[in-house]
Amino acid sequence: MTVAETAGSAVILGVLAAYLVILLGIGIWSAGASRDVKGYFVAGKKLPAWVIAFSSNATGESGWLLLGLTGMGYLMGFHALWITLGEVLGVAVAWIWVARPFKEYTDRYDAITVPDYLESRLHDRRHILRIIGVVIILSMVTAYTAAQLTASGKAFSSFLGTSYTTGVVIGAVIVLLYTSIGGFKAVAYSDLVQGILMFGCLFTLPIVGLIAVGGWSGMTAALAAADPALLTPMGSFGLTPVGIASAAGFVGIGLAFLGSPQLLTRFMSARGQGEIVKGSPIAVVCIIVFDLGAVLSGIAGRIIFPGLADRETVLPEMSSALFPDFFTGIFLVVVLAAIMSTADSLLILASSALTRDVVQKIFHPHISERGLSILGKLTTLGIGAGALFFALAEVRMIFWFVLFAWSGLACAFTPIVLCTLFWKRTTLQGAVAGMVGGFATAVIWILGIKESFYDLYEMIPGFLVSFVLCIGVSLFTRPPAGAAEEFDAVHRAVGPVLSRRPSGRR
Amino acid sequence: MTGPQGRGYPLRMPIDFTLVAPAITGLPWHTWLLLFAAIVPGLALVLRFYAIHRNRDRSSAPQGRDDRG
Repeated sequence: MTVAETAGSAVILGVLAAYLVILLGIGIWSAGASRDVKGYFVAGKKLPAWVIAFSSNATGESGWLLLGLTGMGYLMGFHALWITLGEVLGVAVAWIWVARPFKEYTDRYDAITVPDYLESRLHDRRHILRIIGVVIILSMVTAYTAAQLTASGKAFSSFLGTSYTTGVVIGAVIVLLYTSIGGFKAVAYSDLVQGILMFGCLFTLPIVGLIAVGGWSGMTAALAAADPALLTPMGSFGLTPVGIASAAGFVGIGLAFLGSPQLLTRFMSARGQGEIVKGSPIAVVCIIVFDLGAVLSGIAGRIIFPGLADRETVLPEMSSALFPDFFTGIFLVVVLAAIMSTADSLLILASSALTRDVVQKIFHPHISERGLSILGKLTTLGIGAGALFFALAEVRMIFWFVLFAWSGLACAFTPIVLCTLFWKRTTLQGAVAGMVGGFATAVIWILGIKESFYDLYEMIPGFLVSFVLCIGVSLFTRPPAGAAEEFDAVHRAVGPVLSRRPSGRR
Repeated sequence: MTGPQGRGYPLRMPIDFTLVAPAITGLPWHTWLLLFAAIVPGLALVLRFYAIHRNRDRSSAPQGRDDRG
């Protein structure tokens, strides 16, 4: 018997319809802001703190948070807390140290994409970094978006019993409509709505789950009876090389928050440095609730449903068993929210890579703003159609690509962005070596080394190789003229991070 | 020798944490440590950052300045 048969389908459908109407409303409301290229891709750099905070976390956490991380809690118990540790620290460090210098630099350059920033920072007149960056973004993002649409199909079929194809098509049509109509403003505000829904769900579900299993002591007693290793930080691995590699890999997931392009776009689109300051505690509290809520829900779910065939269905199972129909509808919406908030951001990122980075900056620099905005909308639809095709055809290679999507994007961009922000000696040659080397290492690690190296998550070797190459090659090449002075000016403007000494700004 | 309240408690009362801790919490101390590390440092850093820069923005902003860009 499906969940849909046990719950009131009409109520669930009503909640779903209301949610989809809200998303379309946001798209139409934002349409006015998407008439030029800056409006379409970074909402005119006018977004407030709440929006960038929730949007960055909702984008960073895809359907994986609600289905994958709850499943991790279910399978591994408290060992999954290492992911919370990595992500909370990653988000905190990004907002405290990375966001303000990045915002300062991108405002000075009038940059609206990460390749824009890298090209200006490293005086890359031959567009080498831009081209490599665009190739990596397009290949990873199309696959990643296809995976999100696949998750949409599975969510619809597990909650409502609809066919996989129907779920994929509904998810794709809604995301494409509001994203292409409203651009980044629609993406960011819909992310705010979606982030609030995810926050509410992951705040409520573990509390209700804990009550259902007899409170904290009831939960720990039941876990101890099932498997005492579930209560320990190293889980069933114990303090072994595999356990250490597993914990390090979980912490490493948070590294992507420091410089993945889809997350950096949020800092660029803030309406000022003050919004980054205001948004920082919101983002950290939000990620704590997201991650802790998901892990504890999974742990409680293990006690309620001890023999699930697919551990990633623990959230839908809990929502239908513990809540009335209306809330089951809300939980379907929350799962869709997590999926859509990632898919829409990826679509805008890929569209900006084609429209801004390739068409405007390389081939047609004099194209009108209006023309670029229309081209942006068309490329959003085109990339979305490609992702929809891959999701419907269930192309195997796509799922192979998805393995690299999160870590590949992070390994290609994050170390380079960090070097350019915090080391004035970074050179173009170093950045190219780091970007290619980091990405290639992530791919090679997954394909050939990971299994024989305790399953260590590819982000860690990818980052190490990228940093070593970027710094090593930079030491033997000449930094761009004037970059050091510019670097000093940016850091004077930003001022000290955690001291009360006044900054050089104003 | 008794405790400061003079109620007859021995000052060096032996406490078996392996018994007390699970009875109160059900979790080993190193899991609590991980839970603490997952939440507190990130939160503390960001609150300090917020406190410093919110005040700095306030004190350095000219009167009537519109911070909304």
